[in-house]
Amino acid sequence: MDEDTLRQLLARAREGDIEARGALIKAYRSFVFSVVSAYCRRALELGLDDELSIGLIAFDEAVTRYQPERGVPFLAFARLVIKSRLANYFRQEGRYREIAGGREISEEMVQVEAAAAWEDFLWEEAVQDRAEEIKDYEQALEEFGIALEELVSISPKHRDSRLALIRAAQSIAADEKIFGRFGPERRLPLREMASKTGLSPKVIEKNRKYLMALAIVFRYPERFIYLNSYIRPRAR
Amino acid sequence: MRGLLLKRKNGGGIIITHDGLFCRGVVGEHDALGDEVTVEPPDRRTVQWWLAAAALSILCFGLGVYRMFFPGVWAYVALDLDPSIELALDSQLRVVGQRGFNDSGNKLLSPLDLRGKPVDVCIGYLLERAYAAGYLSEGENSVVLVTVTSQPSHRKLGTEALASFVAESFPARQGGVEIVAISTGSDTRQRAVSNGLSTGRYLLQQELRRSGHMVSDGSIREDPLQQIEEEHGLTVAALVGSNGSVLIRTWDMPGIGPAADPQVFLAAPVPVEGEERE
Repeated sequence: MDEDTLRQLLARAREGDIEARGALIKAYRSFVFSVVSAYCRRALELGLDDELSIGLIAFDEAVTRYQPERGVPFLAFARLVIKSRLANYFRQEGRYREIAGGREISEEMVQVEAAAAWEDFLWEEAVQDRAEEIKDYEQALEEFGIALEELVSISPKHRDSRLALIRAAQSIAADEKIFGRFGPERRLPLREMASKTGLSPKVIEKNRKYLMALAIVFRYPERFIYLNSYIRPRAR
Repeated sequence: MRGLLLKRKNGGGIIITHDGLFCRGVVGEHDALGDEVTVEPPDRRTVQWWLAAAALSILCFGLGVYRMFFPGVWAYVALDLDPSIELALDSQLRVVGQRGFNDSGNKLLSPLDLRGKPVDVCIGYLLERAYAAGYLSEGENSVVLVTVTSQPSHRKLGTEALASFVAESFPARQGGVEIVAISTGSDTRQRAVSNGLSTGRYLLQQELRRSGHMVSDGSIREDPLQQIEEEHGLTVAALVGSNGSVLIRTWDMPGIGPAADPQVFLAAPVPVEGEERE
């Protein structure tokens, strides 16, 4: 879903448009499941595992609570809400277990989670979440044999060149077969990439690492939410 | 430059901009990973200094080479017949530039490229062309105004030497000619050029104004010198003062009759009473 459509659907959903809310949940169902599975560190099945339902409810809550003026991408915020609700769920599960074991738990925790405080906590958490994503990106680059330092020297200085390469990286990221051929020691299908991206094989080979660095961002939009949201070239 | 902070190290950092530029620069103490920050790229500034130094060296070298092939102007010699012409000279007294100040001057120079030729050859050649074009005629008294602007003096550019040279090279064999040669400073020449006049005609205009004669720019630029003399009752020789020489060449000495050879003599400057020189 492109950013403009997402923005419009969010606005309509917050104004009470049920159809828009439903469209968002349908569009991002797989995103919710991937966040929940990653958090639980196991494969889950809808109908059998409560966590998936909690994730969907949390996503719906994120649609309601999202404040675009805070400058955090919606998906990043939704991921935070989902993780927070799952944490709450597991904490409550643990409390019930503890109660069953004869130990009393204070209600203070519940009060701390009062709506306003919880929301503030979420926005603050977004800063930490963003830093985590950046670290994750650096690690992902390393796996492909790319260091951030070398990207400084190899990234094209001309804006028009960068825009052309960003478009090429987006189409590479969208093609699983071609993206799979990228790697430090692998031979690129230059002709195929050239016909797909419109760039010459020479340009692709010369900018291999730069293309890869960007394609990683575009290939995993749900993992690199902040970066995807930030790299938004606009033609002058 | 503004971008998302991707890495911090020793006070520096790496950012990525909206349009995909990875850039290194100095970041603030409190900037955290993922913050949108503005950086000053230090490497780029260093590179720019080196580039500036390299560019300056190339410029100096280039200027040296340029001066070797195209030497700077060392002196200017302006000729006012009817056409007004100025030649720029290098220290070897070779022509490095030429310009006409009025229509006839432009017409006379337009087919010529005098650059690289010695000034005496060029003056002789220009007098011949002016004669061939009808600006100088046999049997008439002519006036030639030569103005030289030169910082260091040169024997060949002395006013007397220049006047003598013009007298010797003057192509019309009948009739008299009065040659007025003046030396001026570069300020005077600069003012003349900014008024679109040759230095000689500018001095003439100033002299006329001092004498209370109003003369239009167009008239002082285009009219023959003799016509200006007659209309305003002023002689071009009055410009000389202590800065020049007047030479008169004549075949017909008054009271003696036609001479076999032309008579050339140095005339005394004509003083202008109560007037200050420029």
